[in-house]
Amino acid sequence: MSRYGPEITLEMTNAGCDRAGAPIVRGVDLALGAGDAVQLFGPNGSGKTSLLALLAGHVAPAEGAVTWRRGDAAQGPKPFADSVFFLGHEASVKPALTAEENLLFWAALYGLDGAAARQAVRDGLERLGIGRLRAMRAGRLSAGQRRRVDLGRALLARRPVWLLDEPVAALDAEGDRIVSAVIAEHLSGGGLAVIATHDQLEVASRRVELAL
Amino acid sequence: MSSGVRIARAVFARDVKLAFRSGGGWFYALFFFAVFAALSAIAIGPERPALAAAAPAVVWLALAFSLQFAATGVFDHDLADGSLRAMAAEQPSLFPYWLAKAGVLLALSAAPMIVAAPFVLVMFGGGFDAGLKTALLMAVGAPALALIALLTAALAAGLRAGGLLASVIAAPFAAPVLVFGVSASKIVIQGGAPWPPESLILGALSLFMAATTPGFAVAALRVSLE
Repeated sequence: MSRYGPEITLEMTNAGCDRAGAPIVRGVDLALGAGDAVQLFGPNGSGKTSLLALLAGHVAPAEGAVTWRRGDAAQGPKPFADSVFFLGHEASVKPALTAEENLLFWAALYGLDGAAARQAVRDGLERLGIGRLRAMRAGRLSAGQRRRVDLGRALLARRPVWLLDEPVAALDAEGDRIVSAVIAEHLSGGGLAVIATHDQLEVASRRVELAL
Repeated sequence: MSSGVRIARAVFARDVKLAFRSGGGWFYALFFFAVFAALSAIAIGPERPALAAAAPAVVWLALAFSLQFAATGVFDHDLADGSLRAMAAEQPSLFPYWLAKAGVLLALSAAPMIVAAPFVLVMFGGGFDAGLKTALLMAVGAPALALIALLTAALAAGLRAGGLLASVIAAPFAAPVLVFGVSASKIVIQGGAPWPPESLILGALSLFMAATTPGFAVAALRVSLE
C-alpha cells in the first residue's frame, strides 16, 4: 500500500534537454510507476545531472515530452507541487548551523514543526548513523557526514518522487548500505526514484546508460 | 497557516540565525553606512553651513550604497550549496523565499541604518528633531532601495563580479528615490510640512517596486538555476 497517497507515474517519450544551448541528452524513453527506480549511468558530462534538472522542472525539455500522472490528473513537464524530493550534488547544508538546526530548517519547509519536527530530525540523524553529531556545526563535519545530514532531508520530506544526484558520493561502505536501505524502503512504500550515479546501488532498479 | 507563509517564516528565521552567528555579519551594512557618513564629513570639511547643506544627500547616498552592499551575494550561498536548487524543485514557488530575503534585508540592514540616521545628522550639525523626521522619510523610501538592490542581486546571482553588474543595473532605478528622498528631507529639515508631496512620491516608489520587482526577481533566480 502506498504511504504517499495517490500513485504517481512518470513517462518520458523521446525526451531530450540542452545544456548551455547545446544538445546534451536526446531520445530518452522511460516509464516509471510506484515502486520503480531507475539508475542513470554514464561518463562525466553525459547529461545525468541535466536529466535530473529536466525532471525537477529547472529546465524545459528541448524535445519530446515529460508527463507526470497522479491519480487522474496529468501534467508536464513540471512535476506536481509538493511531490518531489531533490538531492543535488552539493550538500545543502549551512556550515554555521548544527546538523540538527540544518534539518529543522528543512523540516519547517516540509511542513513539520514543534516537537514532531524535532523528533523526526533526531530519528533521521540516528537512521543515517550520525545521531551523536547532531549538536555539531556542519562546518566541522567531514564531506561524508555533511552528505548524510543532507540525506536526512529525504526522511523528512515524505515526497513520492525522489531525484537523487550521486547520493553516495563521499559516503563510506556503511553509508552506502544505509542509503540503499532508505531508498528500498521508499520504493516499497510506493515511491519512485531517479538516481544519477557512478556506483551500482544495492537497489532493485532499471539501468539507463547515457552516452557522450 | 498557508505553506507560503510557513516557508517564508522558516527562511527568515534561518537567515536571521545565520546573520547573528560568528562571521554572519548583520552589522556590516550599518558599519559601511557609518564609515561612509564619517568619511563624507571629513571630505566636505569643517564649515558648518557646508556640512548642514550636504547632510541629507549624504545619509540618502549612504543608505543606497549600504543596501546595495548588503544585498550583494544574498542569494549566492543558497545557489552554491544547492539549497536554492532543492527549494525550486520541491516548492511550488520561490516567491516565499524571495519575501523572506526582502524581510531580512529590511530588518537587519535597512532598519539599523534608519535608527542611526538621526545621529549622523547631529554629527553634521543638524538638530536631533530634524534627524528624526529625516529618518521617517528614510523608512518610507528604504523599501524601494532595498527591493531594487534585491532584484539586481537576483539578476547577478551566481555570476562572477556579479556585485559590479548589480550596482550598474541598480543606479538608474535608485536615482529617483535619491532625488525625491533628498528634496523631501531638505524640506522637513528647513521646518516645512512633515510630509511634503515629495514624501508621497517616495512612498509611491516603494509601492511600485513592491509590485513590480518580485516577479522579475523570482524569474531571474529560476534562470540562474538553468
